[in-house]
Amino acid sequence: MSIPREDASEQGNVDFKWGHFLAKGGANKDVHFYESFTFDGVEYCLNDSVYMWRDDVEELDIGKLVKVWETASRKRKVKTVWFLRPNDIKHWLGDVKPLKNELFLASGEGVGVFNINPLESICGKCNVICTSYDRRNPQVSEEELKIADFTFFRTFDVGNCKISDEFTDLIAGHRVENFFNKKTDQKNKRLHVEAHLNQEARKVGSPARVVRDNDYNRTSCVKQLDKVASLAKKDLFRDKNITQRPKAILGNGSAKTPSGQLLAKRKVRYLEDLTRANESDTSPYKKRAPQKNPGSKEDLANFDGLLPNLPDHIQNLLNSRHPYTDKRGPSIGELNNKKSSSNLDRRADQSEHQKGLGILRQTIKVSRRPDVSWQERLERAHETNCLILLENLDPSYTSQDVEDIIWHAFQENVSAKMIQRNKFCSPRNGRALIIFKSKVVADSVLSELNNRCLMLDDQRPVLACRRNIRHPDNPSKFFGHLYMYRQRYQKQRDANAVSTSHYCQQNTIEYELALQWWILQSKSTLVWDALHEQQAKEMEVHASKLKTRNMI
Amino acid sequence: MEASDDAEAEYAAFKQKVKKTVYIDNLSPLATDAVVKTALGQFGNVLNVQFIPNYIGPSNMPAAALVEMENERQAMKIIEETADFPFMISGMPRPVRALPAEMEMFDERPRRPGRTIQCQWLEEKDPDFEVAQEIKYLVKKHATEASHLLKQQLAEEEKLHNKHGETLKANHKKYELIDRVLADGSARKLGNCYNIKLQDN
Repeated sequence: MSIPREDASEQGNVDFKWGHFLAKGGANKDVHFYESFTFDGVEYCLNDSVYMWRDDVEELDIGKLVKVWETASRKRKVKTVWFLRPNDIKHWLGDVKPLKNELFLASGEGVGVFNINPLESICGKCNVICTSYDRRNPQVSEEELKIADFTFFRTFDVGNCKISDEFTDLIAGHRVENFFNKKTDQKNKRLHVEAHLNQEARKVGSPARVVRDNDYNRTSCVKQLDKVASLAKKDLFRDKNITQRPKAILGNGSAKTPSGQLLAKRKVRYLEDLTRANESDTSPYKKRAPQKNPGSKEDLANFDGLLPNLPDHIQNLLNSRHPYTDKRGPSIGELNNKKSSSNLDRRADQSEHQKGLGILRQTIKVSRRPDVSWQERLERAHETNCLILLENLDPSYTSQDVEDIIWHAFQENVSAKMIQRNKFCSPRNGRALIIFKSKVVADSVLSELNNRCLMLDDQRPVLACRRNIRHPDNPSKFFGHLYMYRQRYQKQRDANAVSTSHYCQQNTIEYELALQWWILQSKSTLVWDALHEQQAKEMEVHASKLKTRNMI
Repeated sequence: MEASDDAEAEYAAFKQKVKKTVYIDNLSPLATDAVVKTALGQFGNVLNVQFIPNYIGPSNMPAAALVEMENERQAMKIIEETADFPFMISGMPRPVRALPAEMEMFDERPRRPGRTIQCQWLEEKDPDFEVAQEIKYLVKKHATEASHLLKQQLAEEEKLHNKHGETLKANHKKYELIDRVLADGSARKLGNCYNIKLQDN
């Protein structure tokens, strides 16, 4: 975008017109609120979902216009409540698997629920349908679902970062009914569907006014056509020319199965992933079906250029009325059920299988304590002075590697144990405890290593020294666990809290103390990292002094 | 060649295991296998718990354990959640720390396949001998620095622990006082004196 939109409007080049005037501002009479406007040839109304463009982000944001106004200085602003893409909130998704083209409505208190932006950052209209079963949400028809760009039925609370199925009464100060689907009657719905399709056709054909906007739409249309082609190949009834409306994005399957006329669309649903089981309920659509026919035919007529024609027998299906419903309805319902249930069965089987394996695995594996024998051996070795600590080994050596090295260097059989790394050791320094057969051997090896120099791979001279072993019998003090003097009525609660492991709640004193421990922890992590960096640098300096030799 | 293939397969399999294991730190030495297992069992299926033995470290160092989960996702979940919320195991209020496990933390790790270890003795006349001695000295210095830092860290932990103890005792005394006053009626009497109504919760 080379020309910022504000400038363009001053030059009078941008296509903009206010629509229906709503009210004047209460506090400031110069502020005018509007209900609709036309921008770039597209008419927008309040509570429409739109694409908005952000400077540094490639993907367009999707939001719902909840307020539109013009300020005293002739600047046009809109307030949008955002629909969050799964990508935006993937950190908090957890186990939730979002559906294709599912959005989450931002709700709650906090940053990110809505923004006020200049009107000129709107890029186009977006068809977002709410598929929630909330009683305040009018349910949508099959057709509308298919032509929808996106669907949503969950909210994301920005305050506590949780996804929920429930809708509170107010979102960003606006009634939640504004966010649900618009309550329109049958006729209007049909007109709405047609209008939308007209709009789509127009968008694809119109000249590139806003480069970004059209590119987006064109590529999405191209994608749809590709999808149609691939779906056609997979179709069940061996009929090559099954068509689909361009915006064939299906959200979650709604619970209503269509009647026979919508057989073609049903097929597409089989091929997409169904996440909700469909109940066979053909009755709601019986009455509506006849009214739909003219609508669907007209819509298809608009797409002469874009889609192949329907073959005859599918046309017949679309034209026919009740007799088809009666005959085909239940069977489609059954077929539907079978397909989805088989999917579910397969999935259930898999999980059972896994569960079975998991249980099996659980019984076989036994948790391992560090070898008590090693502890004893180490102690004994220490008492008899047979214990040596080697340092500056490569940390990725195993105990066996170390034993081999000793054997080759000294021709001695030893037992070695690489010390398992914890977060405080230097990452470069691998250490191992060696148990020799006798004190004499240990002494001689020690003196050899100290007087001469054994070099390992990667320019590592080996260090050796004696070290004290920590006795496990010594009661180790652990800092951080406090025991409160138990009051009579608090005893029960405390006992439960301490014996089980838990998250602590935010309003307790434990939380505050825990936070202080966290602060200490992060401080120490920083310090350790700094130390390791510095040590690595010092080591670099010395290592570079060594002439690189090829070890043969 | 089969041996090396086996070794590679074993190594790869072990790497997978490492991916789904969590390294838990800041554990109380009183925590046992079962405790850790139940604690982390809330996040998923725990396959295995092994403690990392502390042979040469200071006694006051908190314990650490390697907990193997059923799959990588569960392991990541633990790591993320303990970073977001303080999670406590068998004692309050010090939270545990969870990090992804690394190969070198495991005792039973397999050898890296395809590696040859070489070693050689350096003679005194060798010009590198001096440098090698310097490096040895440096390594020793670093090790001492590290252990000193560890001691300091533990000292700070002790300080915090004591401070918390004091805070807790003070708060507790306050609560006790309030309880006592409410219980034996002196609060009510005072309330009557000042004409303030006390509500009984």
